[in-house]
Amino acid sequence: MQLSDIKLFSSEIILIIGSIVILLHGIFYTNSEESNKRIFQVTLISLISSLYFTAYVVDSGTNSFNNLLNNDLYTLFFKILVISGTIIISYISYNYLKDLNIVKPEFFFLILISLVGILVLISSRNIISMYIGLELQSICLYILASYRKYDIKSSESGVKYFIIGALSSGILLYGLSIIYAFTNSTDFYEISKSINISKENNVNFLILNIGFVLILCGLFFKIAVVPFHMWAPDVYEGSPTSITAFFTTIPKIGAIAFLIKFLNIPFENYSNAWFQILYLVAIASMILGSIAAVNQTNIKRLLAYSSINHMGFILIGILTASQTGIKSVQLYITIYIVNILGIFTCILCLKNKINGYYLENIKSFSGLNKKNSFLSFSFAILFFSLAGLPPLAGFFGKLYILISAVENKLYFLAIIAILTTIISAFYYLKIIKIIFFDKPVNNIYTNITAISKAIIVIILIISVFFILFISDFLEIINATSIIINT
Amino acid sequence: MTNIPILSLLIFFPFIGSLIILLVNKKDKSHKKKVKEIGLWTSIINFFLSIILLYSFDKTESQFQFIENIKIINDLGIYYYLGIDGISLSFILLTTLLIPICIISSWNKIKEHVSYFIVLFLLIESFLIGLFSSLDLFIFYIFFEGSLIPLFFIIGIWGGENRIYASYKFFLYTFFGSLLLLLGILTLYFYSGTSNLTLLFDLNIPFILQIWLFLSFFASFAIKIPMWPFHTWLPDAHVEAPTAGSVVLAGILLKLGGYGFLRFSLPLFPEASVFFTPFIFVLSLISIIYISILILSQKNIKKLIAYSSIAHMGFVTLGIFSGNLEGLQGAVFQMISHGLITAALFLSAGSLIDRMQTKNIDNFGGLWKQMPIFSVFFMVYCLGAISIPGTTGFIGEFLILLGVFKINFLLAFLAAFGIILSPCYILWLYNRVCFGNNNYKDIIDLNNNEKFIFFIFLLLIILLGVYPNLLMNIYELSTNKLIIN
Repeated sequence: MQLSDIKLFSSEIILIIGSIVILLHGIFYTNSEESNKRIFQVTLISLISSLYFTAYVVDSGTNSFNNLLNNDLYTLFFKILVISGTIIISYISYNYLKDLNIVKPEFFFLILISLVGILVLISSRNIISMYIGLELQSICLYILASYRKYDIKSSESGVKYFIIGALSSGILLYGLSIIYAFTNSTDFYEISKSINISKENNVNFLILNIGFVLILCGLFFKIAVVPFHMWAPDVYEGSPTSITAFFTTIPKIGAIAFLIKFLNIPFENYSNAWFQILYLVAIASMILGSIAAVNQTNIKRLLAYSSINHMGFILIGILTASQTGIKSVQLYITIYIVNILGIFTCILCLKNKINGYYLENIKSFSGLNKKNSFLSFSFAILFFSLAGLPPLAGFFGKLYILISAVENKLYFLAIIAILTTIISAFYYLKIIKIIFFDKPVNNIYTNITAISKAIIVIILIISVFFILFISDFLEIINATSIIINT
Repeated sequence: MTNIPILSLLIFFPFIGSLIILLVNKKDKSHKKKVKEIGLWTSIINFFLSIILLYSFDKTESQFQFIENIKIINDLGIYYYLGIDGISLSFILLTTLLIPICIISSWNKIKEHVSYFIVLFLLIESFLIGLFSSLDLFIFYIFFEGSLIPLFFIIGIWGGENRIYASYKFFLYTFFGSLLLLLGILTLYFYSGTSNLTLLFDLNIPFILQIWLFLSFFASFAIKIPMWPFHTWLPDAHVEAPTAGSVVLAGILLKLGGYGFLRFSLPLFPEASVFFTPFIFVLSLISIIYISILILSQKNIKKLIAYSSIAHMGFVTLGIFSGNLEGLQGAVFQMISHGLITAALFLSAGSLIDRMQTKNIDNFGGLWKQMPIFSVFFMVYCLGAISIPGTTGFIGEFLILLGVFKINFLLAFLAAFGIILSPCYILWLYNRVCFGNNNYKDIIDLNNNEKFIFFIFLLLIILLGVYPNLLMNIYELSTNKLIIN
């Protein structure tokens, strides 16, 4: 380890220091409102400085820690996305937890450490560092899912997530060991070389195939696509709402970023194998994600299914294995994250007037229009954007995914994507219908802080006027969508 | 004059107006009045802007005018590329005319969420003007599909009893069509490498690809027009929509399909258009004759008018695909005239429904005694709808039949049946509404707002019916150009 390694790893190191400070603070100070506020401030400061370091200090195109990690523009793009998403989530979580009176130092510690895991996962170029990152992230998420420990559903979701997550990690690990046995190496580029050599020597690929499929299964568990999606709705429903916002966004970005890298570096010349797998998984996820969501009444379950559908879309971009495909994934995932975070921020502003619970059943949103037009308008714009209606941002995400499909002559996938878009438009419309057209129930209590309002307004501006800065954004993506093959 | 981006001004002026409305303080007591006034003035100023556009439009020039070209997506080479020819100008004028009328007509009727109502109408105006003036496929698509959102809310919030079903059906049906259009646009884009319409016109697309692309464009436009058998969303949407919503829907949104055929399908896929012509003729004939017979059994006044627009739009598709000048000019004229007449009919129906709280035709009757002024106006609109000479309806349908006669006698013969059937249902409608007796008391004749609006429609229907060149001069060269290509 050299000094330069530390510079490259600085954004993670800041987060680790921040999380240790939080832990120590938790030891020396008793739980009070003041100390909680301080902890939150430490979290924010470490996140923001980590964002600063990622954007300005870390050099791109370099390896560190004996080639365990590497940073190029591609990883930096995803890192910035992940860290900025976490900033928003930690703010809405703090408000939410403060309201429920369950702020604890552990919470922010876990968020920061799982973020470190995701960052390691994104920048890994070795199957060992990748596994470390993935597990670091997952273990924190298991605890976060069951954070409201006196709530039966929350504990259930934590246990469920843990069992299934552990199983998937086991499968993944088994696959990794097979890959290691076959290629005798853990470095992505070495694996790639070794596969090429075996191809030339006509080695039997059966073992490698098995290992590869097992790894894909493990990764599919993490991003929750069909047929490895069963845990998602239950876990999303049971977890505290702000954690659900975390689940639907940040770990998925990490896993997607890694998946693209993993498929395009070590298995670069293996694309005919993974093309078919991703093809089927994409179709299945889009169809199931859209149809199963139609009858959901819990907004978190509904968003879980809709996220399965969106992941299906993203897989289309990945399987084209082209730069357009990666670009479309980057655009799509950015817009998706922005919209989902906006929606969760809005959801966390709604409470039941009588018992003070946060609203989760979509039927209880009825008549929000009369109560608070700002929130109802935001919901409408964000859901229309998720449904992919122009001129809102979501349309451009869908447009680029369809472009990458049509460019590679995947017309069947494009048509399935279109059909499922229409079905999913149905349930987004259902929420809008409940908010605007249904008779008011009159027990909604809205509680918007100034900062949440600011967050929502920024997100709305991004969603509505995306057409104005899409060109600049695409320039960034153009520069960052290149995965260097060296 | 040429330096001012007048098209962009037309597009974004209503949008800015709607933003201002959202900023008006809601707690103010005169909030509703202020909002309505801002909305009305915005749309009226926009109307005068379009009149300026009409005056500075060069009628002797067949190329696109008022070109604006700004790159928005470098990556794909998508331009914010605007420009109009005579056909688009006519539709822009129709739009800017109808929107202020919609706002005036619902001045006292809309009591809930007034600011949303005005905002949504201004947004629709923005989208529609943008749509008619865009010369880039992607920009067109953005405006085309964006216009769904406001109308979904208009039907859903201020609609009748069954409004939710209707708004869903309307939205999902048209959304489906437009996504197929998007797929077609993408395929075309990857084939040609550009989405610029003027460049695409010079392109020779292979026949097989033309067929597929034509079908994908057709799916979208046929749903919008709507053509039998894609029409089922229309009666529901019309019946449930508030009067102003029906006016926009019938007056302008149905024309998007015809406009799409004229602007895209014909010039881009000429061979496929010829190939599919018999198919479209059959569908149009079914639209005309089958729907006309269907109308005879309608009891709901709004449904009756809605179905009659399907029959009238059948003539439009006949004219568009007849492939000769008379047919095309007739089709454009028929679209504008239908926009005026049906809008007027829906406004009349709206006045009736407001007074009697029923949509059932059997409950009306004897209104000539209580509402004499209304009866006169309604008479003229009905005569327009059955295309009596001297009204705009006659010019359009006559030209279309002339064009169709040139290619096939039998076809024209069958289509003429539509002209015979339309008096059956329209005059019968008039008979049941205005003659006879009713049980209502205290029915007041038209108020000043209504008189004003009704008079504008009457004036335009008669004026353009007697002197059609006023409108035809605008788009004559553009249709000529379509034929030459």
